Amino acid sequence: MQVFKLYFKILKTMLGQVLMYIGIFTGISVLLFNQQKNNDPFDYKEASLKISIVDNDNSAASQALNKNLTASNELIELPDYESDTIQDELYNRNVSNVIIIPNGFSDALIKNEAGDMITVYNLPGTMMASIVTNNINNYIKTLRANLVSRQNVSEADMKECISLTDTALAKKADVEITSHIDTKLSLIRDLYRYLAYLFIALAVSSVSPILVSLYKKDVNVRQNCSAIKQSSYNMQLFLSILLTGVGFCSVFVVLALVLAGPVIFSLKGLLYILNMVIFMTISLAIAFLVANITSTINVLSMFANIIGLGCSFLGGVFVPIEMLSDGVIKAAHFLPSYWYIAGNNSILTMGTQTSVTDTFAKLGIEALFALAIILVALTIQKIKRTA
Amino acid sequence: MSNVIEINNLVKRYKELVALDHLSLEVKEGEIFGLLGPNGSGKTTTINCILSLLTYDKGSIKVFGKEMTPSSYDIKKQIGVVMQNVAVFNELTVYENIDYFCGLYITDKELRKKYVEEAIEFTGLSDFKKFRPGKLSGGLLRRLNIACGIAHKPKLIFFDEPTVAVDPQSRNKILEGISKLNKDGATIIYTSHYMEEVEQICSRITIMDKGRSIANGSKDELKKMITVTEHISIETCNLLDEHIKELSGLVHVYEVNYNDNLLTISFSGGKHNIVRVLNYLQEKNISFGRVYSELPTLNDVFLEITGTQLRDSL
Amino acid sequence: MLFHNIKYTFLNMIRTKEVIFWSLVFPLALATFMYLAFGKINEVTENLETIDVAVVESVQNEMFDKILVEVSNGESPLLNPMKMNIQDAVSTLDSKEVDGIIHVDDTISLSVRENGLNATILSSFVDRYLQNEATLTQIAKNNPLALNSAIEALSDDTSYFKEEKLTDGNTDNLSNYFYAVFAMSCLFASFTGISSMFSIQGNLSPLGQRRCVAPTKKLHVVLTLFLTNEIVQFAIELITFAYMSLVLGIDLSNKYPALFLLLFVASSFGLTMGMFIGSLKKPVTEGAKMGIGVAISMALSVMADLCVSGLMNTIEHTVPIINRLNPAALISDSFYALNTYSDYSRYTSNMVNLSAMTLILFTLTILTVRRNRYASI
Repeated sequence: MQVFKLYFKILKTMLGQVLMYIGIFTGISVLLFNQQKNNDPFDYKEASLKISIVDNDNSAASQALNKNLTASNELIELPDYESDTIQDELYNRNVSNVIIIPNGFSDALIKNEAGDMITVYNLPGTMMASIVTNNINNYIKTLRANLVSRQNVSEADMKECISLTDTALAKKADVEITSHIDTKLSLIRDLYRYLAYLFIALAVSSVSPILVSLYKKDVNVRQNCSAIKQSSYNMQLFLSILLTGVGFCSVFVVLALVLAGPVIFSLKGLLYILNMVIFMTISLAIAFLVANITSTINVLSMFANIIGLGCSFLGGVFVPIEMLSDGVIKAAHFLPSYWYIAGNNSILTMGTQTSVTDTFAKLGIEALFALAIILVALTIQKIKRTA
Repeated sequence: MSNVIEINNLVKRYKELVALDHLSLEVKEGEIFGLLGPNGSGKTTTINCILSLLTYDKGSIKVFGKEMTPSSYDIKKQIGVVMQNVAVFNELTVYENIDYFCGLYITDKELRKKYVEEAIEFTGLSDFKKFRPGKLSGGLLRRLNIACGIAHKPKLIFFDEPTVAVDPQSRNKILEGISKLNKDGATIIYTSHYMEEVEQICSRITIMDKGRSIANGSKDELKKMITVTEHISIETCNLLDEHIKELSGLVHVYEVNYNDNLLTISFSGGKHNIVRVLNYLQEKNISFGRVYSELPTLNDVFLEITGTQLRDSL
Repeated sequence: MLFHNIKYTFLNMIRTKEVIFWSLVFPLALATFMYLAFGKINEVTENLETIDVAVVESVQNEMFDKILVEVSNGESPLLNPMKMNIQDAVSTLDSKEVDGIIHVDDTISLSVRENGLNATILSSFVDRYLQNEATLTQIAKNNPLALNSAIEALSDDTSYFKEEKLTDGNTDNLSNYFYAVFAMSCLFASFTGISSMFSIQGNLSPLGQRRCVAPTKKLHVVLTLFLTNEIVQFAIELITFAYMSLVLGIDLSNKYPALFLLLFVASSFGLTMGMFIGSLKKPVTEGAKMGIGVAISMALSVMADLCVSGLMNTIEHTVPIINRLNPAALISDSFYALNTYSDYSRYTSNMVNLSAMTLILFTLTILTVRRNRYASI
């Protein structure tokens, strides 16, 4: 087991880097988990937007509007309402709408002269803008509908109309959420999504340098004329790489177990693990390929970055598949990370929105990627050796 | 004594280039066999063919009396190789490197430990056991390279130019070590383009050029093959052209040179040549300083043989 | 002499694969990946699009029908309602062909797949119908005479607000990523800075020893080194800029003189930072110095939104001084300021900060190099 031991001795020299990768990933995962924990997807919730309101009228009507808008949205105080500040906050999406209710709004409303009175600063054309502006119009129109029936609106009238408006607007439709997706499983999916980046980075930065060391021409010659059988050498190397993969994977099985609980050992959880193992195989195959292409560590890290980032940006890792443009999605079909992500999405909705065959087809395509990459790597190795 | 290596009519081509051209040689048990030749003459190719690292086009190679193939692991077990380039893992320490390569031959842990320690002792690396190769000087690296090749106590060891880019002190240490390995029973194949080294340690030598063996035999046998048998150098001044002419006419004289007050005469055969020259100088009343006589070196052999060969092929 | 230096600096650089990769190829590749990946993101998450919705009618509701027709007409309609039976509706919802099912029964209810903006829009549409219905029922009961004017008030198209935008510039906050790529690429100029210092320092390389004994003033040596490398580095930034704005078509504003000045000062900073790291006595090896260079450049760039959008904004709201001192944030913010504001005050103050830091580092570099008498070579 000399080669096996050698492999792990070299791996040990790179342990710092490996732990750093895993550590950063775990840290981010825990943050992500804490953020998601509080959301219950079975309970319908209106999207809550960040709005800021300046009420210069301070009348019963303006306050009522204010109250209605802040009921379902988050009220944000800006440090000041200079246009540069508003612009920066809008740009950074710290606030989606800044609503300025002018003085005299209430009186104008009663006289039906309130058109265009409220100023709203937002990013025009966005959904966040239209949801809030629609709410404003809706509230005022309902209030107007209640007011039109009265002559000479008194304070009491106004109060009554406001209360009628509030009652009417309190009526909400029953909303049912249909997708019965297990929160925990969906959490694991989100957690495992980023593995598509991590695994490639890990494999290329840890396994490739070891292989490069072993394949170094002089050392390789020395090994070739030693008494160790080629088949035993290859088998030991294969086992070592396999064990590395298993080691990496088990770290993330444990992480999922800690964060999401025993659901990782449910049928779908096991499928996630299977998908992860397949993708690990792809990553190791890429590491094997890269080690056969280049023999300098600097070039290796270039490959690691370009392949890792490329697959991740275009394969739906950093940006969800649904948000990629059609052209990119078409191109992404040639990236293994796309199928990994698609596979995980498929597993989550398997039984409702996707079929079992569909899921396994995606996993199968991934396996083919792994096989193809290994074959290419072996061919390159053979060509290089005979030359 | 039996032959450890037998090569018959070996031909190796790299596309158009003929690297080995019907090469035949034998290495006998217990000898230090020198493979001498200029760079590119096919020494390393020969070794690589023997080790089955390279395929060859024609001929046969037998090691320990058996056909050598890539999977002749029982033969490989008895072979040690010290390559031209330092072939070690930069990630492992000196001890770990030797242990790893030794472990490719020796599976018994206890025995291996003993062997590794002995190899470290032998190469004088005791103070550097825990060092990584990156921290070693050039000479120490070479010694580590050797330790990795010989730790498993092979019966047959290949040294492929192990002294390239090594300072004279380390070089002598290495050569001494090789002689010692030989005394302990190992047969050694030694390649070099440094004549002095080969001359210093090898018992039998094959001179190679352009993939062919052009001369072959013991040191003395090789030296006999060449015309010049003795050089005599004399420090003297005021030598005239006529003196040189007369000296050239002396019996057995092959060539006379006079440069910078140094007279050099080459002889081919004959005895007491120096007496005759000194007598002549005394006769002519020419004073002289230091006088020394040199027997031919392998350098002479090499230059003369390859030189003529080169001229022939032109 | 200067031209001679530039020529060899340039040749040296393009032959060093690593430098070209990290200062040119990597930023370009990263920008391309981001461009391809982000192409549709804000369109999908923020821009208003017609929502496909299934409508399942168990009873006839003429009034609701009328409203459905209203909201599904026009140039950019809110909804695209499709009437179908319940089975089809469920399967189309599952297959994501529609974003919701509106059930028209005694009351109107809604099914959606998951929470989100589209779900909110659908539910607020249904809410509005129910609310209007409630308002009108109420009025019909209390004050039937006012019913018509109430209906009118509810359905008239008076808008009570006016939307105002504060800039004609680029409001796409994903641009931050591209600004950060520039910041990163400029800071990566430090790699060139580090390796260039190796060529002039006696304790670091044989080449440096040779230069040390040459009769040239240190200020002169460092300045020449800076100028030659900066010219090449600036060219690299210009190529990156041309690629991003011309090939990828990313909106980086068209204030070219200001943009080029920014790129020049920014790459000068990166280069000077590298030269300063290179001039330090410790660590000794080029690898270790490069490690420091990479770590600092990456950390500063990440803090300027290279990886996670919003980090810089969080810092701005908690410890704004960091953003005033982080060169990557200054570079990124300058891009933002140029692209958003018509006046140059924020850009100018960023540039003053960045230039000042460059000068300080440059002075420190010269002082360190001048003082260095090596204890060991």
